[in-house]
Amino acid sequence: MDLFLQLAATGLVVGSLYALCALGWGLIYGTTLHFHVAHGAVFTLAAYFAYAGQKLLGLPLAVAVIGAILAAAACGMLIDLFIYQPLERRGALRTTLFIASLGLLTLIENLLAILFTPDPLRMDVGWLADAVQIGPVFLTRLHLVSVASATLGFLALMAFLRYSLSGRAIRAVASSPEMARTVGIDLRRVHLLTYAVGSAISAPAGILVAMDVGVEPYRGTTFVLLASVAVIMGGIGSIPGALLGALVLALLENLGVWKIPSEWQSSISFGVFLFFIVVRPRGFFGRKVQSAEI
Amino acid sequence: MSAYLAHFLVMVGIYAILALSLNLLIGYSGIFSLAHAAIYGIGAYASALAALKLGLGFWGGMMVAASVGAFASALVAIPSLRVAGDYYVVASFGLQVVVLAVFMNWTDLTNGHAGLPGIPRPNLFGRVIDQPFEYVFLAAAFAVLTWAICRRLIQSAFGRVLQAIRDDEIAAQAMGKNVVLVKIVVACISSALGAMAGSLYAHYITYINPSSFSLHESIFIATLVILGGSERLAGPVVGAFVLLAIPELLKFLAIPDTVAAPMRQIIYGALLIVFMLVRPEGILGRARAAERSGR
Repeated sequence: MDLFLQLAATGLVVGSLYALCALGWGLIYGTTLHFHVAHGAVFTLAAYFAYAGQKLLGLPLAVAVIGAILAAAACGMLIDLFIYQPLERRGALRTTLFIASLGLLTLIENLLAILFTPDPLRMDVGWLADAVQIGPVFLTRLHLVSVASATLGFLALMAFLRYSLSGRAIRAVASSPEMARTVGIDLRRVHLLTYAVGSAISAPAGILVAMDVGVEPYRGTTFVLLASVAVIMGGIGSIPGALLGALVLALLENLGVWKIPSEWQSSISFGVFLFFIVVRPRGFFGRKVQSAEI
Repeated sequence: MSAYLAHFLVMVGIYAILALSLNLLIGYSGIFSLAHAAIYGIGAYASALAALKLGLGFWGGMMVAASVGAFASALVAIPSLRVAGDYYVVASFGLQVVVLAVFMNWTDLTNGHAGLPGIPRPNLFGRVIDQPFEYVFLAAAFAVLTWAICRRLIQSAFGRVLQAIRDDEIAAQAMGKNVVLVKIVVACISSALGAMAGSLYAHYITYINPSSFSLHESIFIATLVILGGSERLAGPVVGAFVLLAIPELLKFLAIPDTVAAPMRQIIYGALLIVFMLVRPEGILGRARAAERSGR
């Protein structure tokens, strides 16, 4: 039983990180319909920004983290501005955009591998690494921060989308780009804003993983594809769905270790995904996925 | 030097088969797969195991490889191609992850990271093909065979339905075509051919391990197709030749190995972005009508 609780707690922590990644990716996918795999690169860049801020510039951890989140948001916007928007202006196919995104992911990951070596680099996290005991469960303070960040990130995003004017503009574009344009919303600006918000919300996930197990160049790919699984499971365009999808995925992966050897952990998620698209392709609460061609 | 050139040509032949078969999906059906390296690996492992454990040799191994490859692909295609395109990207990535996990963790069968050594060379009419330049002919013969199969397929009625689905899925369905079945069948054919390339590789190198069949490899094969030009049959072959030549040229610059591998990936990534921005139809190839009309 203790083992079960420990695995569930670990699942919750990992799920929080998946959730942050999925919230950002899902917001971008739901609004722009870009299959933005380069989000994985933004996720990884955020971690390297934080690492560089702390280790190379000697900033305090909190400052480095905040700086890294802002820098990641800027990277998201730059990608939209210099890659996706020129492609869209030319009327490129969605596949073309996806391929450019894949190229960018490969480019950035390998650039980081050359600049910082492919080996994991450690950050100093100080007292955050201390263990805490909650009943029979052991976690570190950093793990609690992860759960808190995901909760906060989710609530802040919901509030932003519901109550702020810019958030409402994002929702308008997500539900119908044509209608949004008709009422005078500038689609390009909304896309840029979506990339900034989506990147900023996923950046903490990259940084938190890096603080826990080290900064690595190739981790983003797996995270972004798991995020896409979570988003499809939760339902495209549904923010609570993305959160729920991420948590279910992480809990299954971690509780699965109870019965299945841990080296098969990564296979569990995709087994679940295949099962899901047979049984319920719309996900928990969403609309259907877009075809690659329409 | 001639052995070096022969090795290069054999690899071009193998990658040409992989790229031609993947282009049946990417170029002619509009289905983007991130699992072609997994299929390639399935072919290599199935063929190697058939040769080592069942004693089937090269030809039997290749048959087994093609069937297992098609079967694995059907397993993923049947659920995910029923629904829309983006699902397949994710599902195929899933297949890639699961298959690699099988190669690495099912140690009783695959020998894990250590891989499978001692795969026999092919035997052609009682003659063992063990010289690199002899293997060039074998690889070239299979590349030509794949080319012929793809060409025949694309020009057949089936191929025209395929391209109709790519251009307008709903219209094709309205014409009474079974869109899902056609897509599943083409995924199986593509995988059977890709697995054949795996078999060719396993019996050439005579040793395989999981690292040759990673996600990076899948992205690389997709890069061959896209940069070569997915609208033309010859595009992927040109892509394979050009992109395999780049790392050979890099060898002339004295770059340490730890930098050379990521450097290669950086070049491929940059080429993908630049081509998508400037010439999305690839080196060969014509702009698709749909793209011009801005759909």
